[in-house]
Amino acid sequence: MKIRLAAAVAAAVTLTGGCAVGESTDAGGAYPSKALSIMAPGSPGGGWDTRARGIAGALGECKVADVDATVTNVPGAGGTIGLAQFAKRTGDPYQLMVMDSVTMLGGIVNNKSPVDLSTLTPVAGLSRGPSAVVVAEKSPYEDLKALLDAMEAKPHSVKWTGGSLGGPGQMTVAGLAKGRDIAAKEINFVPTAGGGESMNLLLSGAATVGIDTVAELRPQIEAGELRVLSVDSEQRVPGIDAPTMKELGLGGEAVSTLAGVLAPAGLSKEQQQDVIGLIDKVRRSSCWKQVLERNNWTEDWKPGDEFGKVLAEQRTQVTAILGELGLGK
Amino acid sequence: MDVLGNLLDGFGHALSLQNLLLAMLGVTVGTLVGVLPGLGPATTIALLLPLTFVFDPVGAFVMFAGIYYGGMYGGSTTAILLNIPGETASIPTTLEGYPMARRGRAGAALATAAIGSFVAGTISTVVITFLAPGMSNIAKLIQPAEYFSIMVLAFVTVTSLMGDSIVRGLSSLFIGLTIGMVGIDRMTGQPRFAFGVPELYEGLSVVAVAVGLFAVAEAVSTAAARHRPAQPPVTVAGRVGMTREDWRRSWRPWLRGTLFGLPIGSLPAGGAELPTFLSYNVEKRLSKHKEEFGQGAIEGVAGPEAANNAAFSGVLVPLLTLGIPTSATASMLLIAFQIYNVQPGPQLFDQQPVLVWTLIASLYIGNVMLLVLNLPLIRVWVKLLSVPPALLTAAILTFATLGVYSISQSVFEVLIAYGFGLLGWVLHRAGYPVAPLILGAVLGPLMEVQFRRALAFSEGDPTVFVTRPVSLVILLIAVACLVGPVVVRRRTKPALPAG
Repeated sequence: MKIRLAAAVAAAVTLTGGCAVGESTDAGGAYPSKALSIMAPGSPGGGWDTRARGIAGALGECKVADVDATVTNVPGAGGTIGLAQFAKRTGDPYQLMVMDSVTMLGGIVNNKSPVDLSTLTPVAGLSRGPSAVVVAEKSPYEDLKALLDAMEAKPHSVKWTGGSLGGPGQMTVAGLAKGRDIAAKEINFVPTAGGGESMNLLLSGAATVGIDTVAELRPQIEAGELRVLSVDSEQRVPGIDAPTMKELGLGGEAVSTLAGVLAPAGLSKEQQQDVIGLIDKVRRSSCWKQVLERNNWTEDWKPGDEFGKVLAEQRTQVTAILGELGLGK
Repeated sequence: MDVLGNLLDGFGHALSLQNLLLAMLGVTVGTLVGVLPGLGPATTIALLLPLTFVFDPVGAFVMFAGIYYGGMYGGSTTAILLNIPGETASIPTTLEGYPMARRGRAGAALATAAIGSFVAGTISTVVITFLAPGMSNIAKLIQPAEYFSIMVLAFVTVTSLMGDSIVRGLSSLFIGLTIGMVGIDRMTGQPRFAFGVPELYEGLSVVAVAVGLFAVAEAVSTAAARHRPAQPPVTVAGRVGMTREDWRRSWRPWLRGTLFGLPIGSLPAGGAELPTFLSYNVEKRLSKHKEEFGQGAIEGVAGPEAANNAAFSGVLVPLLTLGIPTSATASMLLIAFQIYNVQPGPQLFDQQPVLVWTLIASLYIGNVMLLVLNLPLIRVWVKLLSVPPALLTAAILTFATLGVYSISQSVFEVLIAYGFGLLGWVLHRAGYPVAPLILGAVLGPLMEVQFRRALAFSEGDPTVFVTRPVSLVILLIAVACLVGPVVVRRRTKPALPAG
């Protein structure tokens, strides 16, 4: 599905005369001077879509720029259908794509995509969505160490559930297992389409343990239905009484996904700086701060080539882990 | 019993002039987007989300509830009139609704769909009103083994769809199962029947397949028959609405459809596909007019439409009580909640009573509005069928193409729809029923994934299906459905040769 949503408010702002809008860009003239197109390579309502609409909304409502932004959804094949389309738009700084590192890199490997991220222009890493390892309230496991002990003794008896096959959740589990010398193929991980399905598996007692984003899990955590063993983030997550993997000495094994924005290949350094400048203003706006808060995301600003470096590093990690899991062959 | 008090409070908030107008607007917009190809209710709510900045939460939710119900009902209109199922859950409606329309009974089909949706929607809303918090506990009882057993039951009842020849019926079913296997296996990442084509990695879109098998095949069939005497335009037979006989044949399917739709829709992995197909199969089994099925039996519209609407109401249970959206439309509603800084979940009823009860009250209002709007519209829709068949066929083909393209934005899927159109025509000419094919394509992948999950969780022990009591009971019912008719037949007609 693909929708064009010219952010209504942005349109209204433009109609009422855009002179009072935004600060001028200092780098080389008037970027952006025409409408931007932001691609979300997933369906409406998903994480990538929320991020794309968040950026479009900030451009309009918070008057970051006096141009329209259109969000297009091109879902399919782990985001690689959208990626293949996006890669063709060489040299156009008005085309942006939202993604997040591990999910998209995994999608590329799993779907044997001929296009990868290395040719695209990195704009910025924006945010991370912490994930949590949870068990049902009746579970005997009180901490992650005990769970990993059980897993080491009898890998199949610890049944994991989480998001998609080869997604960030499964990779984190693979990382944790590796730390205990458990072969990746021994892990009993049941992938789901996320949210509801994995929650059902956890609450019904079918799965031993689940891994998902804090945003998805929070209502059940607050209601006391789920117990958090650990969170995968830099700092503890407000309102959740559980140690981070780092505190438990397990941080090194987790590959944590970084959400960000890419532009097509073939942009000049100046053009790249223009886009980075624009996204920098977006992330400083109060609209974007609300988006972060609403989705339990934390900011992680990595402009330009810093983001490119993260992508290159994680590409190696992701390919290695997926190879061990027997995926992408 | 403060549920009633809360509900009345909810009505107090929802029944302002502004909110009633918004409900009317929502139902109208919803019906329109349901009828027009391409814009589903989820997309419409996505487009209208910015309105949440203008209205108070109550107003916005009243309108969204209207769109939600209207879109669902509008989808059945194209299924009945044009043979185009807009979504998987409308496929069973197409099976009987379109033949009814061809026989000049479109008015009755639309009416039983509208009234059935209203009955199911109202009953479901009443049940949700009183039981929603408790219903979320169902989620704790149902594991993959139970889901699998429910699927087995659905497949066992499929025998009623087989038509005259078991061999042809089974062939059709297995073609469907194969179609369902196309794409990347979600448990192992292995591509199946994808032949290296990236567009096939996500599997074949069931909507494109169904639109092909029904709408495009119909157009091909008309074109192939052009040397035969032209069919006269469809004339409305008898009265436009439902006759006394129609009412008598519809009310039980409505109630049974609700009975399937609500509990299955309330499950976090339930959805609307399973109950609508189950309802269709069961109605065919129970009907005293079995010979009419495939030719336009009203039970085959009444049951699935009620099941569809009940399932969509059921979707609100996991959404409100667990914070889990189980359909695209539900996830848009969840986003709307979050824009108002409301997080649905187990504590929602305690933390946001006004909002929840107003939403529930607006569901009642939306249901009534839907009926008020759509019953008079039936006369308008029925007129559509009086255009000459050639023009109608052209319109069907146009709408089918537009619909598939605008849902997917992909020429590839349009080609799939056309390919299945040809296949559907060939199957039809050769006397193969298409209903088992669609059922296999829709339920096959669901059943497979639940089977493999159940085994993964039992560490490979297949007895999990019979050691869990709920699963065992459902499997026993399935066995009874399969064996029962044979036994009964032998007892009552001992003279006939067994078979």
